[in-house]
Amino acid sequence: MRILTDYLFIVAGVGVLLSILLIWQIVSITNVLPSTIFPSAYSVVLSFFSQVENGSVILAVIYTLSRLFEGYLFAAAIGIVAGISIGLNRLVNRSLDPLVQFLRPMPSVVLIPLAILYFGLVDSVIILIVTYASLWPILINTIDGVRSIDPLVIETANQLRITGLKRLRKIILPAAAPFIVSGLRVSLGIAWIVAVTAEMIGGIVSNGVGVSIFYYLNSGNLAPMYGAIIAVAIFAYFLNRILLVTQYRLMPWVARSSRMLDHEA
Amino acid sequence: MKLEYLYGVLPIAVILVVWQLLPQLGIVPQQFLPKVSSVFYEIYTSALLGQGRYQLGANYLFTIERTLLGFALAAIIAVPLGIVIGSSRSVNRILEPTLEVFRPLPPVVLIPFFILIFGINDSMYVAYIAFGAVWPILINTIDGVREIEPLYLDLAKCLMMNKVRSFFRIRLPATSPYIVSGMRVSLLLALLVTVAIEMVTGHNGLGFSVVYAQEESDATTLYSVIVLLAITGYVFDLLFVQAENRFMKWYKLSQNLT
Repeated sequence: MRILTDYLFIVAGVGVLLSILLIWQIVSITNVLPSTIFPSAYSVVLSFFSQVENGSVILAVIYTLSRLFEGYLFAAAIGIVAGISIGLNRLVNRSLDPLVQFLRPMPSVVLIPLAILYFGLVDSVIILIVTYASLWPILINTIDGVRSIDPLVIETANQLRITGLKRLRKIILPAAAPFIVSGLRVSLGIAWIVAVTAEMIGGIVSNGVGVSIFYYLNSGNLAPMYGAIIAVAIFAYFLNRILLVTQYRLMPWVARSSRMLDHEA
Repeated sequence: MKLEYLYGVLPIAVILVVWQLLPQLGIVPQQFLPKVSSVFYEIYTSALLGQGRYQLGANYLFTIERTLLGFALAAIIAVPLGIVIGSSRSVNRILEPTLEVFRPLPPVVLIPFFILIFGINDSMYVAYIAFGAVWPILINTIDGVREIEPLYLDLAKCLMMNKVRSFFRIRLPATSPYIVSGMRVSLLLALLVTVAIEMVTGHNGLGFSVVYAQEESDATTLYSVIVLLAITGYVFDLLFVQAENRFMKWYKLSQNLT
């Protein structure tokens, strides 16, 4: 019975998504919104599948993702290492906190033009700004995670003379991990925004999904434009999902409280 | 205590001094890194006095107005909707797939969609920013409503509160820490997507100014916009920190107790 209702809810949930497509189709064929600027859901889905078949849309997303991940992984490496070092040292934490709190809330896309001024119209501008933008949530969450360790645990570790790498692996990382993963999720969302915005500003790169979307928009080719948007939605959904599942699998004990961590970030 | 404040000021002071000295001593050319003093002078003349061709003051107001209107619209939509979704387990489960699909979607990819529907005008900006900023408030409100201590609801029953009264006296206050922390994330997200769409549409606002300044290779204006936006983001965040400390004290206390 329970499994049956679970199924019903999944069917209903997917039904809501499908009915959005249905409303879109109706709005388009009844010309509530002119179909020239709002092609029917059916033609968009058809276009999406042919874009997938000839590989154009997948390739565009992969170009975007390759830059995104390069920056994102840099940020993760810097953020986790720096976060642990800062978090472990009270004095360093105290002195850097105001600077971090000042730099974090800045809308980081504004640095794209500055990076263009310094480095010209090259790929690495996007990678650099993605690194900068996604660094903050990871860094701050890692610091918080390290500082959240119960003083009693630290005291016990001291008594048992657990030091060095063993201390890092057995005590610090497990305690900080849920915070770090939730920082990684927040950062991923920001990295997407920065990477795609940089492509849309134009002139920096000639490939990527932001470039394709505006290319289709300007050439009035709207069905493939929506197809590209759908492709981004699918990739963004699964990347987010992967991090969520990692969180649940690796740290089932924080599954509940981790959602609260996202809110804090 | 006083000494600890000094520790925090020190790194910022060092950065400002180095930033001033590098161009001043000619180690870095000024067209790449303008002096701090010229950046603040530019902010004073262009943003406050409205001189010069960049009109930073007027563009700043465009940006702030859009950010706040978009944020307000997001909050007006998300809080009631979140309460409705969170209050019913069935509604929550039915809408969850839809929310999970739209939430991770980077809002910038929908800029063309909003332009096609509204054209490039103020309602487009506000609608788009609201879409971009709505998710943290919505998700937090849903979670907040769902995670109310059952004890509180039992208390409402014991006191024989009616639905309206228990909503305003129990549910809403219990949810408010979640709503406020969602709003804190949303406001900064609203600022980010505002600047992003202004850069992409190139119409007006600080996002437009910064792209224009880059085309003119005007580093002083570039840095002025960056400093202005950094201060704005900082103040936005600080307001929420203050609000959290002020109104949510009981929540923080209760968190420490458990």
